[in-house]
Amino acid sequence: MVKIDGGRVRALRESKGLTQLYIATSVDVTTDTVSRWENKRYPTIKKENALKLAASLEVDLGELLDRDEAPEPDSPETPPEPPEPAATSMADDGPEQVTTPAATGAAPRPTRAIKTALIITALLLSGAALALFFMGRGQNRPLEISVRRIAPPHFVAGQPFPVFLKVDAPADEPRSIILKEAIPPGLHVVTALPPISGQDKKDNSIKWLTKVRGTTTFAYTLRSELSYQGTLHLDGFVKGPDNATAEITVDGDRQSTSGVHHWADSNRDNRISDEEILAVYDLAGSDQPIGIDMELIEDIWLGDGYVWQAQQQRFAVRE
Amino acid sequence: MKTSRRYPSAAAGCFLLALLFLLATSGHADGVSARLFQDQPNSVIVEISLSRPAPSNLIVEVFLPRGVAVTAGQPKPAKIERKKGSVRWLLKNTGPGTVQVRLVANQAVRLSDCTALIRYRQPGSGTLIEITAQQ
Repeated sequence: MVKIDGGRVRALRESKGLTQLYIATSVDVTTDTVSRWENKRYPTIKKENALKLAASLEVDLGELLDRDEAPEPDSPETPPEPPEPAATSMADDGPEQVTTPAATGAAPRPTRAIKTALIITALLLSGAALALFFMGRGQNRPLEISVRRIAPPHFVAGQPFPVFLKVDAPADEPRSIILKEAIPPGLHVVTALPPISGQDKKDNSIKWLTKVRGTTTFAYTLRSELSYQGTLHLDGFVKGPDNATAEITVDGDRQSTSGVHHWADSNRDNRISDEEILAVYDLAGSDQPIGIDMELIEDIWLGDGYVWQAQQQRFAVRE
Repeated sequence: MKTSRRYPSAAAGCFLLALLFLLATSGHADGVSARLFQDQPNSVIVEISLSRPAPSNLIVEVFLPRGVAVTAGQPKPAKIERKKGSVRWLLKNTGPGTVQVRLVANQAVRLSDCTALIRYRQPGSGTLIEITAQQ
């Protein structure tokens, strides 16, 4: 466990224009946790998380550590504190102190005028924050990134098939993105490349949090349940690290239907042509990174066609 | 001369179109060119030159005269079809530069009796392109 300076975390995050969501995704915690770190409610955190936090803020861990372990002395403006409260509570990731009102009555009570001034100030600040929020929504910056999904038009239930996401970004400097894909019901992810940054069990989605420059291909392999029948729908988006950038929907192929043809046989003629095998290698590369049986695809290409043997759950190649 | 001075862009366009046509119908297209040669009477070599943006994967298919059999290939061919008299290679992870495939036959072969086809997907568009190696 290490003790971090929440104020420093917030200042660094805001200076880089990053959202709490971006940091949360990067460290693989919830936005509530990030908020608690910044508000110093969880000053001590796991070293593993602290390292991820430093990486996402692009600083060394040392820059986030709270160097002053001792309690800070009261500033001259702070009124003398009441006697030390007795009540404390424990949060799930670290100690949290809750102070109770002084029971002695020795501390000066705020006057009605001060209370009124505080309420007015709070209302004004809230109004300003809301105005900034809505003004900001109307001025979303373009992300200058496009994403195209390439998915086979069909697949065989129970057999893995790949989905590719081609991200085109400006070549000048790396752009931080969150790329998210919803996994259709009845399917699960076999593998992904590059490895995903996180998987959300609630909405069954996967996401990458990374930097892109030029054209980058992301790929994942899906496998359905054996009993799957029908058409699956694919959906996803890409977003920048700050709230100012608009969310962009992933373009390209959006659905795929279960059947008896190999996913690489795009024209369903029970053969894999030169064009089809070149398309597979151009997209997937040749080092089998995403759990595709390239040897089988090559055998079908070199052979005289194939048939799907449902009983044996395999493709038989005609020689 | 007068025409080309008055319409320099049109003249240049016609020249480019003619050049593109020549490239597309010979052993050269989109920065990919191929030639066929021998280092021994019973060998056939296909040399493919790739310039940026180069295709990542290529299929090379050589057709030999009837009755000629292949005894060796470098790199190892993906398939040798004796009936068709063809040899196929799938070259992966290609990049800018030169790549060669070589076969050795059981007898001397005349280059003029051989044909070599190179197929690849055009980088960017994904269109299938086929060129014939020049002798």
